[in-house]
Amino acid sequence: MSRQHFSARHNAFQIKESVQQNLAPLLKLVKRVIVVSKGHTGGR
Amino acid sequence: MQSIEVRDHNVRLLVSSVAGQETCVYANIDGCAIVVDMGCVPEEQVVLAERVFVTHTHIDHVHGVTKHAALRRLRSIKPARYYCAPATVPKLERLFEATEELQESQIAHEIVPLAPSDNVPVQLFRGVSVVAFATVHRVQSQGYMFTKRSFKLKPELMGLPGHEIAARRRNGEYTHDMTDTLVLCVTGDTTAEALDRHPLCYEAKILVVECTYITDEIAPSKAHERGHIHINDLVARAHLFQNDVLVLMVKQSPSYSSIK
Repeated sequence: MSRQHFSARHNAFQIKESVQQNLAPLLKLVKRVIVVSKGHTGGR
Repeated sequence: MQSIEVRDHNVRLLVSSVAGQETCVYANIDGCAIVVDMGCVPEEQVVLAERVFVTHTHIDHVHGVTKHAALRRLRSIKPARYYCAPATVPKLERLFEATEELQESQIAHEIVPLAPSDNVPVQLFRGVSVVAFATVHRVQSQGYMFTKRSFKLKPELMGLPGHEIAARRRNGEYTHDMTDTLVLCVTGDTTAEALDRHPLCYEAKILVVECTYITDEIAPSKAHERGHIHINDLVARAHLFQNDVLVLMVKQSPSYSSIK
């Protein structure tokens, strides 16, 4: 696995963790929160 | 693509999201396969889906449309229908014309205008219908709401033999209750303003939202200028979401240090 590939996967994992920890607990009426992210490929 | 099963509503989702490169949301609703945005054609199910809905014309959302049509032609599958805003129709036609010129052959397709102002649902397949709604992005954009119609035997008729229920129906009696369920809403790229303008989004059983910025490296105001949602927008509205399943397509690439 290349360093860039690893970074992208690591980023995606951290994004999911961050959203699940910071936003999901506030969504009290939502039964399931699913985060889809493949990480960085450039800004827009 | 990430696979998501929502058994309560008999929906299977396949979702792919990579910032600036590809966005694709496949859904199978009670056997009705649809795709919202086609920035790529990553799965066999996506190729087989006959109904494609385009939210806007940025390349990461439409890049796969002509490839989808070409793959279907290659396999002798019936041409798909590509639904989009009326103003988008000529743009997609030009995209097909350019691809056909490169390919030196025709690629069968059908582009269907679907305006957000059309409040009459378009029937798709076995009780599944769709309406478009206006969203807020840097180019003209729209999201889609998919509704499923179901019929359930009236409680007072439960336990009656089938032939008696059939006889009542022949006599003009309504034997079933009809229910319309907003089962899936996909916003595409937008600011959170679109959610507020269309509060039904908050009630859809499954809501798929693109949340492009999740750290303070990009200020919410900057996100809005770019026609995107910042995570702070969702935090401020957290009490409004009543969805069974909320799918967040997060695209930003924060540096490790900025994620806390």
